[in-house]
Amino acid sequence: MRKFNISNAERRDAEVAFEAKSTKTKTCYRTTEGLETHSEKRLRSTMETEAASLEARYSDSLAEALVAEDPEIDLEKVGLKLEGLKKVYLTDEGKVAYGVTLNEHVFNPDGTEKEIRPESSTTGNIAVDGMPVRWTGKMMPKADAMRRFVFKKSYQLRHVNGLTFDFLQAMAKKLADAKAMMLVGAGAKGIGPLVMHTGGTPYRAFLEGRVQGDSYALILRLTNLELKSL
Amino acid sequence: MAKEFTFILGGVPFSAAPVKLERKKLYGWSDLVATDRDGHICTAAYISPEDSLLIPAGAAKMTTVDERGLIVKKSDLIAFDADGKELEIFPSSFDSPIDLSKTATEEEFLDHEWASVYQIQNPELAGIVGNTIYTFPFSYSGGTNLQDGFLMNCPAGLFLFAGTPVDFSPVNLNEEAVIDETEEDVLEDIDELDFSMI
Repeated sequence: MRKFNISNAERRDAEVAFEAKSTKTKTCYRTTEGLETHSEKRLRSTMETEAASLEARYSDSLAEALVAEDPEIDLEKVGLKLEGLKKVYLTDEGKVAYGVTLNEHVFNPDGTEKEIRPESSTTGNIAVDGMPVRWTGKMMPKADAMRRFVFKKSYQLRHVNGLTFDFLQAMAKKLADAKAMMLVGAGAKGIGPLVMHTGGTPYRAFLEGRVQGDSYALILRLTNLELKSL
Repeated sequence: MAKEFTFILGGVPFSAAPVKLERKKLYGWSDLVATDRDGHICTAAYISPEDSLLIPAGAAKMTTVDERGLIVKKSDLIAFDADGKELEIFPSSFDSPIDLSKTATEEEFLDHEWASVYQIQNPELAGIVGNTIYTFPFSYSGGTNLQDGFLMNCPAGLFLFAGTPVDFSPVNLNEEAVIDETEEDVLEDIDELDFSMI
């Protein structure tokens, strides 16, 4: 399991583990003849057989060419198994472009452009030494939280020794008694979204606690979508 | 006309067309645009490392092939689970009424990861559902993928949730976990509780 650095309401922090619960069932496919199958990448078309290339090549006689010569199919290459592909960018002339600048064009829900900004990527922030994921103090009744946010992913926080058992169980009990979820945050001020791994999606996160006898479940619930009317 | 689900509650049918809840519709979206040194927009493509073949974006397609390497059509495939048992084919929830006879607790609802959420605009149905959470088998397009569906009123309206269950069994003192993977140390800027920017 991976490391998760978390502090409690008293700002005592500890390194614990978190567990991703798999929800996917393994499905395999066979042909009607009983043969096993697998997925792989195959070539569908080439630069030369793309619509724009064919239009440039044949102009007004494209329709006749499609009927007579099948130029849209490269019989030598189509269906080739593809592995280890690298992404490149091409110029208007179809040549590989060098010194490419990547910008994010951000659009409003109505389709208007909001801003252009340099491409950025996220970095994981859940296991940073000296910067634990913090309780924000913002508690929300469980019944309200589940009706305001779409929890897309959930992880179970797990103790790694006796001390962290007491630490996490106390958190779970506090939340279970309050029938509430606690908003937790990352970053220097402990109020930013959580990023579970480098390049990952930033999520707002809540902790939910359950206690059953001497056992506990402390669940980290992640959301990046509010339940709003469209 | 948009396709509609039919819900049966107390023997009465209620119809509504689902509207998928998406980040794009609420907060907008971003596109990555590449420009060359002269500022001209570039198009994305792939290059094959073996023969330097340039491949247009979208021309490298995931395909199902059999043991002989022959491409197999989806309609010629039979799905099996990990134990080798043939999977049942379920009809789409559009094709048969959704029976709202089973209720769920908040905990049962919470222990799911949601694949899709739809807004259901039918005020009459919303009024009858009230504070009850209903659950039912759900499949948007039919096939072997059957999800758990839930219908629940929220402050923003009536929503249908489709997802898969997750088990969060409580753990005791003896069930210690072992950390075996760590991420690099990083810093992050702080922002407000703003869903549009995450």
